[in-house]
Amino acid sequence: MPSLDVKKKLEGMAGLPSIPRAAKHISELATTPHTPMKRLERAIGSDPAMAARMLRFANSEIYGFPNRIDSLSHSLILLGVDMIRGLILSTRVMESNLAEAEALWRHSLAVSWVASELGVRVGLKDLERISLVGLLHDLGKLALLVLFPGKYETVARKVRINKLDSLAAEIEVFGVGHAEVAGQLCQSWSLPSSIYAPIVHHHSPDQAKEGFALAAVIHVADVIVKAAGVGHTHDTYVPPVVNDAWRELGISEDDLKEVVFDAAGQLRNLELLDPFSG
Amino acid sequence: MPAVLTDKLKVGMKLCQALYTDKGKVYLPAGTILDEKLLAELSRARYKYVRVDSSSLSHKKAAPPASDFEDRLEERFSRVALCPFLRLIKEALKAAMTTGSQG
Repeated sequence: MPSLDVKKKLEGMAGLPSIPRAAKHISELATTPHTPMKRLERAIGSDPAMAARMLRFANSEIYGFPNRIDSLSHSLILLGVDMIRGLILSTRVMESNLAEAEALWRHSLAVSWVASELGVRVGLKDLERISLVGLLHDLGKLALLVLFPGKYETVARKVRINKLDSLAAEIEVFGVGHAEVAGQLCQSWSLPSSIYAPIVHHHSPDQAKEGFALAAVIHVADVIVKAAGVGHTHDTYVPPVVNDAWRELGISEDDLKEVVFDAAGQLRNLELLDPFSG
Repeated sequence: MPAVLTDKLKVGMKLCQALYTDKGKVYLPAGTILDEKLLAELSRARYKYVRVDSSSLSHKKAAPPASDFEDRLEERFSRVALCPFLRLIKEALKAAMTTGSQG
């Protein structure tokens, strides 16, 4: 069970801050006349905090859309240009722990990319949602980093010195892991279960009652990305793996090898996928 | 075949995979060399990233020594039991390194 402190702070959390260069880049695009909407969507879809903000507003009671919205492109269409601009320009920016936040963002972007590649191989249809869930899968870590920077440093110490994996260290320190934190956050923002269920279970796809395939894809992508060396600043170790996840996905060994081989080269040139670098 | 974010494409890059429309028709065939006009079109299109020929990239990083890579790889795998799945990933990463794909 999460501590009351964590639960209370999460309930009052209206949004997450973006890394400064992402916020700057997206703001510039939003205020430049005639920026194609697809270009703005791609930039927003590369920043977990900004993407979550758009989804949250599209799913808010103010709009009252009858169905939950689980796609970024759909959210942007529903919100409209003026609202999107307003949300972008009023977004908060990360002011401390920048190195950790950047590493977290880089990891999220890499998982989003590898998950999409895996999704194609296993024949999943909704590639946009796979990419989005990959991008958002560590939202809980960002929330813990923002809300409890001091305690988050204790987690980092436990990983480094006590050799705990980061999820176990979080549970020791906060009484809850980042996957569950993300789930609570997504629910409080009224995001649909098709988004938060695979996020909650990205370390335990075997326990997912809904969205097993997507949770398994994110789990496998997360492992590949960490194995290829795109982890967080303190958490560079390959996490415990749910052995059956990739078998249940039905991906062949050859396909998996190809994805890993490709990812290894690609992740070395991550700046080619980084919309916010010069 | 590196994937490059659409916004990062540059004139002279060569597509190594065809791009298709939503209806499944070829929009740009593999081998197309991008020019200003195509870059402008792609900036308005739905593709998040495209695959280009690595020889058409203007910058390439020098790979660090293989021993450094192997040490880092061993360190990353040091806290987890090596099941068949992880062994496969580790071997694929090593293979990528020996063929120059990995740094």
